[in-house]
Amino acid sequence: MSDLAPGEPSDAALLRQHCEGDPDSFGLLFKRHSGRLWAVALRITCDPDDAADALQDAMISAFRRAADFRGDSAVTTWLHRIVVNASLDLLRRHPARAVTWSGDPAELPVPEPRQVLDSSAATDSRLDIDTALRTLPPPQRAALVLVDMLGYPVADVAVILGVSEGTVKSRCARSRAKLLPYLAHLRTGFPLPGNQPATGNVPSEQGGGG
Amino acid sequence: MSGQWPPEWEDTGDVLPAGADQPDAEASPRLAEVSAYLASVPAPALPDSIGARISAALAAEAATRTAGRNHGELSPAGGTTEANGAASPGTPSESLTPESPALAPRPAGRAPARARVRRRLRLPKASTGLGLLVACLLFAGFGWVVSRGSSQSSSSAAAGAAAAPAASSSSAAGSSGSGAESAPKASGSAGSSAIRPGVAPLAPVNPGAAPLFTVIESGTAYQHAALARQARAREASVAGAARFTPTSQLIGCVLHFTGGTLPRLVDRASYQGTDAYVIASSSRVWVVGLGCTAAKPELVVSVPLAG
Repeated sequence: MSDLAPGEPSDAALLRQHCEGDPDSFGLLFKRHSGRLWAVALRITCDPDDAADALQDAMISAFRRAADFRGDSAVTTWLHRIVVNASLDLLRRHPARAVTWSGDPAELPVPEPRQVLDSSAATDSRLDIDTALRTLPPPQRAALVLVDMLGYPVADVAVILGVSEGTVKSRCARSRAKLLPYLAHLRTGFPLPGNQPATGNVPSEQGGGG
Repeated sequence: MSGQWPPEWEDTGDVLPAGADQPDAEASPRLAEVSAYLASVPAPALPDSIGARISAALAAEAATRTAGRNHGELSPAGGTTEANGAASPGTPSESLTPESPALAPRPAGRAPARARVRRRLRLPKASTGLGLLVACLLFAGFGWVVSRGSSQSSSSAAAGAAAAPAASSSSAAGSSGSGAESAPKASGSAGSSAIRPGVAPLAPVNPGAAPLFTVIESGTAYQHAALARQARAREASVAGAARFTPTSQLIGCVLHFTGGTLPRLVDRASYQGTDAYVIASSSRVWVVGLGCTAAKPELVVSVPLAG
């Protein structure tokens, strides 16, 4: 997944050097992939502190058990699997800050219409996405994050999560359906019908009333 | 992947036969829009402090592994290295710590000597056991010194000494440090009433030494809701608080969280009624357990210092 400069050792070579006792190889391996691994941990845990703890636990675990890597997948796939497991295990040990939402767009706060996607809006979008992701069960969240947000092939994600490709696809599809009403209101041109600011002339689409 | 999910995580609709299509995505273009939108969200960048923290932890692991290897190579029995080289397949590093990875490839041409290898393998185990016994006796001795010096004796003296294996300065100063520690404790918070087993006592600041930082014992009862405010206030006003030299374990713990930068506050106090260290940098506060080390950071909570 990462482009190596000429002469730069491959991930497998770094891992092999680490197993042979080189003290710096694993650190180099971590630095090479730290960005994507951090993104995985953060998107799954939805909390920077939890993500930091999970990523550290994962890297130390990988450091210690590097000899167990049999080479039947890419090193990055192996690292991602460890990070995903560590993130999910942490969430299981510390189930907190779960966001419950019925899925009814009418319950969402009415956003200001966004004409231009500036940097502050991007930050707001990311915060809202984190909130939206927290409504998903962590296994579904992990699949959606890996496939849609980080762009990994379904086959790789299946190996990372230890499930079938069909299960990955199912989790992604169900997650997208759950997020659709929530994320739609972040995009320019929304809010959705029924989620209108309170004015005198807005017709109610909720039915009832007279 | 762990299969013991909490019940609320289970979703019976998850499992589909292999090769199943995504009927929802194909039937609804809007779901594809969700995918596209999620893909457009920029990936969060790894904060430098967290990257440094993890790199430091990995460096500590590497140092521990190297130290373990050196200890194994220096074992009294001459058969250690030889046994490693002649070990049975799959276990070349049995004389090292259980979790250490395979370090050296097995040399070729040793297979016919396996009968002798089995006898030789007993030698490193005996020497390793002897080394461990000696180490335990030393730790017990340190623990006896610590327990004599502390105001409260602990039944787990070996565990207490084991918490400071290399901190000879802290153990040597333990008897004097405990006396100094008892004085502020008399006027300190009610929560910090005892030195827990396994927690090395603090030594008073040596005027002639130049520690990286000093630990104060302010007696503050930190609370979660006011943690940031209390830390900032304590950082601004440390007058009157007893000051101590940190142990090497505490130094490692503090630098682990601050990413190698010196802290602005290290306060041995109480958090939510439990003894703890409160560590503050310019941007963040951490509450850690009294046994915190770089290898085992006992993080209780961490909050940002806004502004």
